[in-house]
Amino acid sequence: MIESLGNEPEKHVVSSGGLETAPSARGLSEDWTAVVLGLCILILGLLSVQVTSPPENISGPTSTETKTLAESWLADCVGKPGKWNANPGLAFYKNDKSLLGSIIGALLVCTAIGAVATWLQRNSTRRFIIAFPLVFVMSLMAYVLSSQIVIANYNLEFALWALLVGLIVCNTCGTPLWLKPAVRGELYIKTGLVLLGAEVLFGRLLALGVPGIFVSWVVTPIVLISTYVFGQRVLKIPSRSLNMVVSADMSVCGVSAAIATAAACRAKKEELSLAIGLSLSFTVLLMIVMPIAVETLQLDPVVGGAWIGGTVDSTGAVAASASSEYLGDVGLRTATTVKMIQNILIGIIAFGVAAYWTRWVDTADQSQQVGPAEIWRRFPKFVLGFLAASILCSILFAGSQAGELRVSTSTDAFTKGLRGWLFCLAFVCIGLETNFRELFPYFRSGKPLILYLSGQALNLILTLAMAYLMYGVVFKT
Amino acid sequence: MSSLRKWMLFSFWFTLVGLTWTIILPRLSEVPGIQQHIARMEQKGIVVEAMFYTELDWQPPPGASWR
Repeated sequence: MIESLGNEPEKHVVSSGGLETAPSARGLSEDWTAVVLGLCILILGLLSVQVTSPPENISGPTSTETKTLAESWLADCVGKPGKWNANPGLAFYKNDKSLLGSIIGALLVCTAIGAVATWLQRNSTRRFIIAFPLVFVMSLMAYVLSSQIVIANYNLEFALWALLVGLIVCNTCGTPLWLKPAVRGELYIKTGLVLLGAEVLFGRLLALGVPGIFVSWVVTPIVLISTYVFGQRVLKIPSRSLNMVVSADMSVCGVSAAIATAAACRAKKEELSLAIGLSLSFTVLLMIVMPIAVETLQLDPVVGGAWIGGTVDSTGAVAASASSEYLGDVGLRTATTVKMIQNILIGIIAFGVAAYWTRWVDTADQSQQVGPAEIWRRFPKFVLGFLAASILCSILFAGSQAGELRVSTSTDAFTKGLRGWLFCLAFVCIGLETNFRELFPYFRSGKPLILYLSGQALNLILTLAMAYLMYGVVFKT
Repeated sequence: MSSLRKWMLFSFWFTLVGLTWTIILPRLSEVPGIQQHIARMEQKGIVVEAMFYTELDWQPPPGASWR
């Protein structure tokens, strides 16, 4: 059984039912496989984009700015089900256009990624190709469940339903042994995170300037560290990784931050599942309560927008929450921009958590001092792929208009959709390896819930204070 | 657990999920408060299920520049 989401280059034990597949010494480790695959996909996505300037643009510089076009030959190659209400069959159509082609495209691309990964790790590619379609069908079911109109509009993200589908299969009829070669949760998560790095564009920080950076980048780390310390010193939560994942998903940006930190601190799969369940439950609540609170307190729309952006966990829920008439367009834009800056913060948080874990947590019980070579061996290498993707795309994005178009078109047309599928596959795999009984001990103490509530209370107070100070006093004009 | 019992349990959960998604949730979408929320999100084009800002139709504030 995979015990954690971390890198275990020497031994990779896949099964809870007896089947063990350990890559030979010649094979690449899971982390390096994810880095190689993620960066290759990213480069393919960037190269697939053609940027053209129509001849009529030479009439003036302003029109050149607006009319430069970009298209990718990979557009519509990877798609996901659309929204539906009573008939699930409608999930396969969008504006009367069939989505089946792009969903089959996603199946083929994901199969190719997994097959190359098993080849790089010197595992059986044939067994992977036989097993993978069923795991993909389960992911497709999760996507269809998450696309139901009520579920989609209340931010109950696909991760929750992917876990549910996997858990139902694992805890009823059981995960068959022949399926195990495709149950590669760690690989999907890490490859997805490398692709996510391409969406972490540091240049975009300049979009909101100093007040937004104060709200997102000063309050968020304070809340994250305070919540973690509170969990360790006051609540005495036995698992440091659970403490960190709950603190990060509450203070940064929900599911995406939970995935990144869980992989960085090698959290157990049950811990990631619990953190995501907590986060999504409270996101629905905050999404409804926050606009009422902003209106009741008669906050300025910009201050209210910044408060919502800094506190509601999930990115989509921030936009939904800040779309009230009271906040208007300016409140909505402030909220989504503050959340966008928090999204970008996950790159630094993931690196910081990985470095802290490697240097201090993993070595806490060792009497001898650990040298740089050992620290390097333990460091989760996929974080380097994540940062490399982020730096590469940030440089391209900031360099020229063509670069900006290349990065945004590649993300919109290809990597964003693929990253979604990889995360969905990962959560199905986590469900497929989780026994319900393994989740109960985490609920019994109630400590993760207390941790989440205490951290969120601090987050609400500090973010409101900082939003008021920055947008209401210092940068009021 | 016997094989038959396992598959019966699987069928139970599968049916429960199917019925919830095809009967209960569509009925829930007709409750006035929920209906209004959904209509507002659809009208404003907000992607509530977005996990990352790149999934939103995010526009930079006027005058913002990163070059």
